[in-house]
Amino acid sequence: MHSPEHEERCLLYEAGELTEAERSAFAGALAACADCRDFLASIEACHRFCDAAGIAPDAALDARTLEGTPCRRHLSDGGRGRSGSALDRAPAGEPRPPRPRVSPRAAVGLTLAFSFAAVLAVFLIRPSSEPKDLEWSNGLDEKVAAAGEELEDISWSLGVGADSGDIDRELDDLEGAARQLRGVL
Amino acid sequence: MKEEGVPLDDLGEKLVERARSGDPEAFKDMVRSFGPRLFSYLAGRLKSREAAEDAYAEVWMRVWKGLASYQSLGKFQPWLFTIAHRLSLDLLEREAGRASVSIDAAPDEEGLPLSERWPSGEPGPEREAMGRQAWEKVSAVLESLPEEQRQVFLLREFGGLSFAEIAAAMDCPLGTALARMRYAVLKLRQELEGFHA
Ligand SMILES: [Zn+2]
Repeated sequence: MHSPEHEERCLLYEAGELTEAERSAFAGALAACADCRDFLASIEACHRFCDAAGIAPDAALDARTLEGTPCRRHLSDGGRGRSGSALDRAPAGEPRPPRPRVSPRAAVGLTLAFSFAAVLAVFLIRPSSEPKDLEWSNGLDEKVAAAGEELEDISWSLGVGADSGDIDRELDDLEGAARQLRGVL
Repeated sequence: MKEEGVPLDDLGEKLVERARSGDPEAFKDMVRSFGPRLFSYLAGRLKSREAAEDAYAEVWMRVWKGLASYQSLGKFQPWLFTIAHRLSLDLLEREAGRASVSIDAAPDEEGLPLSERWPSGEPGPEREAMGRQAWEKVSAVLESLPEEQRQVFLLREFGGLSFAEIAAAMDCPLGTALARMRYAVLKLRQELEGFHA
């Protein structure tokens, strides 16, 4: 008697996911059960229908995506190299990788990040009359380096068009590094 | 939308090989060959056209970044759609989080039925390729399916994954994936009765 299990068997049979022995056993059951044959016909109708029902991406979207045609040089480091952004690594004249839209938060964060970097740079390069080994400067180099690394991460993520969630997380890390730095200063 | 003659998995492997050997056209061919299926999948999965478009670009970016470490086991298409599946889960989850805190979100496409997010008056190749009548029917069915059934149906019909691969991607037993697909097929059969594409 026909059952839901028969129909699940039909799905596996049609998908080619039965072993040879299971397949021949099921072929016998199929010949004997009209409901199974009906269900199999429905599966095939689904395929035909969905094959006809696709939505193609529009040309502009494909162009945006295809801007990122990769080359061997990119693939050799899996697009994950840290010696600059993917944009920097691309040879001159080579198309850039596609970049999804940056979230408003990431855009604001980026502005803050670069402002922070600029303030930090001014602070670090200004001539100072204080001797360098004052106690308050202990650990400063480390904190500056940590903040610098976070900035580099964000720059890399934006360069390769990482998703906005990753960028948000890196901005959080940067905020953490900035808080630590403020603690030292 | 299937290429004539060449099984998609073989095609995917060849394209990966070409991309790895430095052929700059390989990635374009990959997008051209798999793009329509991928976009259909994302269109059926996500809640707005903008989300589907952003996810489309993001999936290809992840593919590009992952090509160097991709293991050639003749499973390019399942790999591609597993990336798309995971990304769409993340996006839907993020969206659900946003919706729960947003009290004054601007009205957008999300309130529209799937089929109406791609108005029939739109010009260009998108419209040419859309098989509109069929898409309307399929999207009406997708709309009526519970989330898990919709996922299985899309991964099977547009992603071409085997049921074993779907079960792995969805982290569920094979029997569960089969039961979900069975319901989806029955639902589509019911909708298709009397409809001639
Ligand atoms: Zn039966």
